[in-house]
Amino acid sequence: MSAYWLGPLALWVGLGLTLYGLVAGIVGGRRRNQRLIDGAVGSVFGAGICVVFAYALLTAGFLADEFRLSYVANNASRAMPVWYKATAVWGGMEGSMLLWAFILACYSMAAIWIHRRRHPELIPYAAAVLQGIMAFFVGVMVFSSKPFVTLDFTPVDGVGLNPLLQNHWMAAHPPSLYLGYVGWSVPFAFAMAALISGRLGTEWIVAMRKWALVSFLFLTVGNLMGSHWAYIELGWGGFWGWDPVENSAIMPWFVGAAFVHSIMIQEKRGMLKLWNVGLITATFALTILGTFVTRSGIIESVHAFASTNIGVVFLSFLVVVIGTAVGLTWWRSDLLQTENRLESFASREAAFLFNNLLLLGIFFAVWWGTFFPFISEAATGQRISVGPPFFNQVNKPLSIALLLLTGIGPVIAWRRASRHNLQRNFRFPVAALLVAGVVAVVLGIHSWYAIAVIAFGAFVLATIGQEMGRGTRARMRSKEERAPIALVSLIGRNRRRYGGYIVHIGVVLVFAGIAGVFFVTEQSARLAPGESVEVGSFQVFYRGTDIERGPNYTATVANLTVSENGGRAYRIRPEKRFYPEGQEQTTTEVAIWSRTFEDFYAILEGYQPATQSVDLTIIVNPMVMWIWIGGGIMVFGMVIALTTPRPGAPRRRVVQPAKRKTERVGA
Amino acid sequence: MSDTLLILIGLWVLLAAVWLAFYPLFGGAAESVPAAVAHRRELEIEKARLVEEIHELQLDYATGKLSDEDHAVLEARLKSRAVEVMQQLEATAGRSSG
Repeated sequence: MSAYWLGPLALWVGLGLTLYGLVAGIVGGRRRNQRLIDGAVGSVFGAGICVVFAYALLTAGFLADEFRLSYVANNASRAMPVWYKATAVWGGMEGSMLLWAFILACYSMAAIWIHRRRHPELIPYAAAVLQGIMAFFVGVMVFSSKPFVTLDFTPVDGVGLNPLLQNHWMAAHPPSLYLGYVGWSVPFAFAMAALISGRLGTEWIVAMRKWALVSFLFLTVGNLMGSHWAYIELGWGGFWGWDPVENSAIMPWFVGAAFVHSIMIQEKRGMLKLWNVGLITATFALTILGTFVTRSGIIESVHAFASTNIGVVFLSFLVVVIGTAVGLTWWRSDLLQTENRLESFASREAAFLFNNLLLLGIFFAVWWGTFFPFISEAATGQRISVGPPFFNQVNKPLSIALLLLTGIGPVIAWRRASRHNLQRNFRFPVAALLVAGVVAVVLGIHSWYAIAVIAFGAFVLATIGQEMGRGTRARMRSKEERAPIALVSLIGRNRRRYGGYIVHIGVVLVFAGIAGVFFVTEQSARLAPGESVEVGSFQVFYRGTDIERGPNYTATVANLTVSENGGRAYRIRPEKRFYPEGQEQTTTEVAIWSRTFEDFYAILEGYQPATQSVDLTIIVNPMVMWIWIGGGIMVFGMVIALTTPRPGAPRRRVVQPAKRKTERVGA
Repeated sequence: MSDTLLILIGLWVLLAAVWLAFYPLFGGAAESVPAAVAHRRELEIEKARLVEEIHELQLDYATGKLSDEDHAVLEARLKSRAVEVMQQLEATAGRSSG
């Protein structure tokens, strides 16, 4: 007797528990009925267990080659390596829904467990909202996108996973992206709980700042992994193509970034309360919108799943989410009044506000470009797409302004910057900006964008260096520490602030990497064995072709040696792979010689067996490495910021030396 | 593992999930967090937040992001609120011990 019928049963039970939790949380919270509140909390764990069980059961089906399950048969095959079988669970729509619910279950259980005693007034409503979100995803799997459908017969083998997805970056990319997407459910749920309970001070903001940062961190990692996958797997030489699905992943990142910044203004100055509720609602709604875009098939994309009717369901949920949030915000509008007004445009508050507006401006440009085909078709009957030039043209000035604000924000004074403050804090960074700009021009750089990135990047790095230097000196004076110890202690005692600065260093490096696209060299060539071609300063020599067999594919591999200016030669091997099973698909596996300041990127476009000649596209991509390095530094900075002890958490006691001067600063 | 065993484990897990959600309805007297305890917890969180705020304020001042005047005003405001919170905490401690 097969055990897989337990899967649908677990989802049905889970659905029942989520609906119970939704009602129990709201009613229990309003009537202050502790039994119902405990029931709502218990339902989060009960439903969570059901979903985790269903996920484990489906994974077991993949690992056991259980092709009687239709979903397994369509997304796996016997020849696939075990690693890809485990990751194939989210290779199709039904499994990706289950992955979403699985991650939501884990987040919900963790959030409710951590905050159940610290924020008892918010918990019933937060549990109810989380259960409402879970009810939607489990409901989709119960009624529409069913992962446990069984066939009338057992196929000998499965169709196999899309070969493009058989890449370790792509295996890790969806969970990371989903950890980012789904993570925003927690701050959204607590924001709604704050609205329902009327507790709209800083309580929910303080409680949720780490959850927001965790989501932002995973969304960053997910986008980096996705772009790295595109760079090495799609074989067109770039890392971001402004594809609708890529855009859907980056849109919540922009709005989430705005939220992560603007909550600081609410914490410090009691401003932007309404704005923050709006931002978290928008971020969460965009995660649903992103899923809608990927699954509905309304917009064509290399990443999108097949066109289905599930889009209508997602759109309906989106309307419910936005409608509920707007309704609650309207109801509580009197409690969302700002405690302080903006006193000057030359202030930290204003810099953060402009930062928010620019991030939203970039988001809106991406949203408009992504949905323009859909909008144009609805309005005129003609589907008109906008391509990368639109996105690049609109986003270039906005992103440059954002880079400039990345430098201004951290050093400008709160409330109102005086002339003295401006001179003291901006003299050195502005000098760095001018020097870097002049050096860029003297070096012969013509692209205004590249010059601006270099100049503004220097400005940002100078502000961060100045901040760290001043903080270190203040600590050296007050604690009598040596400079390296003072710097480490400064960062350790102020992880949120300096973690943020480290993120900004990463942002500058990512910008530098992106600016490299203006200096790309590309050349195509047909080479017979023994022939060579020169691309820029590189010499490429073609030695011949091998045919190799992988676990579930056959590869045609071109053997190339590359050297720069006649120096040491390196062997690189671009491939074309043919996956005979199921979809009979061919993929391009590029060969990349990654170096600090430029990547040598070779694509095998074609092979003529008669002459053994190959068609190659060679691209020299400057600065790409800095995107990954900068991304890594951003992630590192976020991790540092995340390790900030929560308010009220016991700090490790440090034995202080007996001789101490009176402290002047708290650095 | 045989399918029968897997089914038994699965059914047990699902029953445990249902029990988790419904036992509060049928259990003994539900214990809510007493209002005084909840209030004290809120005050402690508020106090910790204020200490963090004062620390941040001093760092902002030391790195030149606050004028003397703004620093004095904000510091006085935060310290006054901190004293208020600590007095409330003492009062709640006094009530609970009395």
